[in-house]
Amino acid sequence: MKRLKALIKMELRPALLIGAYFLLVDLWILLSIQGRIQNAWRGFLTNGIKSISLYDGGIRVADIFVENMIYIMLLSIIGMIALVYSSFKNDKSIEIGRFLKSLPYTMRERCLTKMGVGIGTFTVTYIFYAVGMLALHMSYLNKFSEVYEVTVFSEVYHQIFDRGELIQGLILVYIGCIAIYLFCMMFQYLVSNRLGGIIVAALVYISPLFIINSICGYMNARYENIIYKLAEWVNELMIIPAYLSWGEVGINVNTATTISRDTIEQYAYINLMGYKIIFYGIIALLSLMFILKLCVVERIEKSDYFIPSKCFRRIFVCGVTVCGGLLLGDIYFIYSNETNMWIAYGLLILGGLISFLIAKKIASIGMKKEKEVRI
Amino acid sequence: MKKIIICLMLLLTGCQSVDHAMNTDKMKHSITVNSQIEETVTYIEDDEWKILEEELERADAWWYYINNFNLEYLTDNGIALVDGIFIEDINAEQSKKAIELIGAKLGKAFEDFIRSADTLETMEHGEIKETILGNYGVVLQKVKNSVYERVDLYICQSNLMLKSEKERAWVEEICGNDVLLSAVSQGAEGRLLELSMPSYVMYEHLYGTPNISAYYQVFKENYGDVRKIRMVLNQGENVESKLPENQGAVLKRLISSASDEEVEVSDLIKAIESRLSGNSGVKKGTVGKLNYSITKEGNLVIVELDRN
Repeated sequence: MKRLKALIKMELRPALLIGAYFLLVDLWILLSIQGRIQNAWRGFLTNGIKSISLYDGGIRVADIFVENMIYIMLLSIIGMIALVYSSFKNDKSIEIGRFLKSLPYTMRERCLTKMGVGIGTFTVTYIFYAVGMLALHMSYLNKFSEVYEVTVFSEVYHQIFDRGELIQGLILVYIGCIAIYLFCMMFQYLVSNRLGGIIVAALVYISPLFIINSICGYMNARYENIIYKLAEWVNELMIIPAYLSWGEVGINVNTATTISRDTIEQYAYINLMGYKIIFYGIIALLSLMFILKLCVVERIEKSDYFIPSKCFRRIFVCGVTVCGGLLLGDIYFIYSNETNMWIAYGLLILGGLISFLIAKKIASIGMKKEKEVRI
Repeated sequence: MKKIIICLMLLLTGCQSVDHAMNTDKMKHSITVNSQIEETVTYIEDDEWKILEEELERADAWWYYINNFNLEYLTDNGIALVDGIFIEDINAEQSKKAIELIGAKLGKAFEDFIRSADTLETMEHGEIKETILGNYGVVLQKVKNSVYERVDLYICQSNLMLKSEKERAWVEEICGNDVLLSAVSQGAEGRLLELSMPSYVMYEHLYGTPNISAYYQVFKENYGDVRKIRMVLNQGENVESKLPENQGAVLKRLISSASDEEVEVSDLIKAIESRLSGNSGVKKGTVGKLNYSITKEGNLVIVELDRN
């Protein structure tokens, strides 16, 4: 550990700046939740029990915890991308890169330090956020439980948003952010250009989403079709981990004179939290495994290549070809009133061909120079 | 290994199958709740009040009718409210017919109260005089500026009657001539009674609060014991630091009733007044068998009283 001190110090510099950003985001979100709880409470104090309806006083207040998970997720992802971008600044510079390689650290040590500092920075600030959220949730329950206890819907308030669900949501956001960080980091080892690595990572991430939805369009898949169900799962799992769903709660009120009176209210929640935690955990683990494998591969002679790995270069070309073909067909589906499947398949092939040429060109960036040198 | 992963997934998600998991976004909860509100309180269908409104409409008086209750609340949320009538400038020609009609309904006590409006001559802009006549709250307010001087009248009606005779008598004793039962809410674990100064209801319905006014929340167990009392004081735009006598009297009656003995509350009132004139913060102490805490948040001063 002592030996790595200088390395940690070097990696900490960009991480601290991003850490400050995470902290500001956390503070902003916690203060906004605190403000909204305070406003709801002040509204109750000023106007009494009539200001507490099922929607405004109950669900709406509970919603703010879920809604804010989306903000923290989005803003953390931006921070994570910036962290990856800034932490690879030295490695990708030829002079500094050479200097770093001359230092008595193995490639794996450097990679693990970089990863540890990045995850550590996010974790420390996230613990602050999670503790703040739990404290605010407790204060919210303490404040409003006396109000809910004297309304007919007390049972509903207890069920809609409990602490277990909040903790699950916090774990999901954490795992999701770590998975995206490691995923972006993995692409820094696969693509030699920093910005290019992030763009390719984003494209690779959304490609399954795009491919499965496109295939659904081509097959005109309906609800009972397996492809449609698969698309639903991919959509649910791959669009921002903490993406918001609007659920419904049906309340049947029995009174002395009315047997049942149905009220249906909408509220926010995160769907399939357990599955999402597992899914992003798997992405994080796979990314980590690949990073540990890729970080030790020395590619000095291929450092000018946009994509140094031959295998990934092929996958990249194949992926762009498939996506490009489907994209042209999708555009045709969107803009034509009467779809002719033969035209669609024709465009699929045409789009594939054009994309293949473009992908080939992108994948061979940097390779031309080598050929010139060889000549 | 495969079995372990599937078990882990189902355990984490609480779902019996993938189909079940995908259907969760349709209806997350469906709950049947039993409302006890109709066993606790009755909504008074006041035909006379409706007739009065119609007559006022025909008389083309200078008035507003403020409808702030919804009968559905009574059956759904267990919350019922008061509604009210506002008459601008009681001495104006257009208002005379309206005052006559209200006088015919509320009787001599109302006539006497209206006559006391003459004593408002020396009062400042925004000052009020209020009373309770039956289940009506009546407020007179002086409005004065360099151009005109007038007295406005506001009448609010409590549409609620508690079903338990014992509880009804208790509420009447607490309310006296100072506050009226403005809302009742009933849950499985307790009930809330709100007692409001008529001026508080008026300020809520019409405009901001120039003067100090208050309402009281009484949290009760379902079998009748008082669990918690909260007095919410709005200091108003004039930021008054003296607690009006009637507001202190209601507080005294509530504390004495919750403590089962006559309790001297002058120290508590002093503490409230010191908070009214002081800065934000919390002051704690004991009165009778209750613990109190006084909090100031902006122009609201909240007095909370819990059992020891």
